[in-house]
Amino acid sequence: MGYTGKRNKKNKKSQMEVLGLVVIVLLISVALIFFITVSLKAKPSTTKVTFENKLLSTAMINVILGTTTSAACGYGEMRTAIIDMFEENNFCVPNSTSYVEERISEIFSKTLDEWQKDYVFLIYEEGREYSPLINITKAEKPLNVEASIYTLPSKGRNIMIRLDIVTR
Amino acid sequence: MSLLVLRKSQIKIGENIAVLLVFFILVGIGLIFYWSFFRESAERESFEQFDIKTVEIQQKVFFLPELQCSENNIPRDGCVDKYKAQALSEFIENNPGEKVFYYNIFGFSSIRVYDIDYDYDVVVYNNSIENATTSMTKLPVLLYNPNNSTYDFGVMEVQVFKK
Repeated sequence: MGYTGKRNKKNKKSQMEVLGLVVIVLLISVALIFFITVSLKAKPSTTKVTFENKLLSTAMINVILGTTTSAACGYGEMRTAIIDMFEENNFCVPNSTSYVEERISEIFSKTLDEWQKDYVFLIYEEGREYSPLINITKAEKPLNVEASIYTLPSKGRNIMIRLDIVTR
Repeated sequence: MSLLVLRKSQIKIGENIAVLLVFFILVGIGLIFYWSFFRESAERESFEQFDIKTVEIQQKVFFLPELQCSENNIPRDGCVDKYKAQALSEFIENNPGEKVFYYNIFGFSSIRVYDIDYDYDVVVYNNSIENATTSMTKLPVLLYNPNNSTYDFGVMEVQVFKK
């Protein structure tokens, strides 16, 4: 009887051990699966968004340059007003710089602001990036993206127009 | 003695069953994981293709001769003639047969051109689906007014629908 009791006890022990092993294996498997699922979850494609913003900034500059100005600039091209900013600065009333800045700010308020975009817009002479004539910024932090830069040749110098766009 | 042997074999069988049970549970869990990963991957690719299609349609509209403005017969890129856009919109609306022609180009989509300053807003093409997944892009365009030869700041909005 004693021997049977000991044997039963041994059987019970082994059964409990096997059950314990099964539980451990299951727990490890679930944890592994959870970990792999989380790490393989797709992150939003930043390449696509960057491309779209680059396309948008290029198109924005092209259209701004081709837009017709108002009576203040004699209905000339915006391109002419921008070039004049670095010359006599009297193509527009009161002056080309203030007209261009006001007009572009207005355009951005009706487009990029409504589309939830952050941006940095600069017009400067080549080599003088840190003292732009026009600086329109709407960004909480510096933008580290490749910008669209447009070059306008004018009387022996280049006028650079730069627009960085980032989706908020 | 034979009872002991029987007991031992029963325990052995029990062990084997337990091992097999654990094995099949692990295989089942693996299959579930693989299925969910595969489905997510397929869905992601489907959305990417959808976004590509939106850009494709936008580019087609951009270079559509029916909308493009021109100077001395030289077409200008990134420019839409206001009167041409208006005419095309009316043409498609009044000729259902022609809508089929443009359906082959634009599919289920909606194309709208508007001026940010003036009261000009034209839906050039509209073939939308209710309660569908949509993808929208907006791109600045020049809006040419042939009356006074001026160029205004406009936006082209393309919205593509997926069933």
